Amino acid sequence: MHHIPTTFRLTAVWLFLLVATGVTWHLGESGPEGGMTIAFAILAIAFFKCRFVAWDFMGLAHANLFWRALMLGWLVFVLSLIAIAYRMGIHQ
Amino acid sequence: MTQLEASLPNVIVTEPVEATGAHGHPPGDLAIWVFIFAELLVFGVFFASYAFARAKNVALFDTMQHTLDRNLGAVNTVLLISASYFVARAVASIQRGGAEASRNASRWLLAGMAGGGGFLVVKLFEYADKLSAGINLSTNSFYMFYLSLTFFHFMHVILGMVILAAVWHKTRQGGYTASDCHGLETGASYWHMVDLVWIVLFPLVYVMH
Repeated sequence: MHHIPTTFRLTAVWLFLLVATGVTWHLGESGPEGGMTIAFAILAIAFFKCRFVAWDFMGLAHANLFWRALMLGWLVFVLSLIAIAYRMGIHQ
Repeated sequence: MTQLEASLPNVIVTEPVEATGAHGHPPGDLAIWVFIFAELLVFGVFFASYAFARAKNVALFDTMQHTLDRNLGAVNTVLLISASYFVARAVASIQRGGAEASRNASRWLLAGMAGGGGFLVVKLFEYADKLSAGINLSTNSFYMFYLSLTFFHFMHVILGMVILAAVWHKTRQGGYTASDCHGLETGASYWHMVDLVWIVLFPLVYVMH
């Protein structure tokens, strides 16, 4: 079966990614130094951006559970390590 | 083809369409997905190394991060995200088929390559700026990570551009159809991976402090 993403869906994802990039940039410009909340927000945005790219642009949304779990696993693992390291930095 | 299908007129018997998500496999060649996850693993190790190195020397990393141009990092994110979107549109165009499919898809691929090219140009300006300031791999641990990590990614963008150029060439010649666009999907999947990695790299190196 063909799973062709609609133009509307692809464009909506693109616009979301652009807005999310703007928010990330803004958090970097105006966020208070050393804010754990800001760091988590930035990582959460990165998570959703990656998920949309993987699911909609890469087409993993229609792939079987194995591939989706592998991608989500990579994302959660890497972003969690970054969060842990960031927290370690605060309690230096 | 079964006996029944063989007895039907050609207009009715068509080969089953196998493209995105057929049989639950991700689009493109299976081998590219093994390669993509191997690459993601390497980048993941790189990202974690950067993050834990930063945890040991927060002051240095935060001070050095201020010497980066976050605006250019954001511009490059927009360029790669858009390039990924353009390539996704190219693949969807071929998958939908129709008389104009190849023409439209090759235009979207060109736009994708323009985005990738723009990224490389911006990055070269950033590198030139740092090199002219006397910064190199041995300046400090932040710049060791910044230069090696972003250059490793830079090389992936170049490879992605080469792949896009190859599929663009074939698309222009009408080499892909709705029922046979495996090569295009394979190239596109690699290109999206390059975007995916940058989406983590940008906040990690340019934004979080």
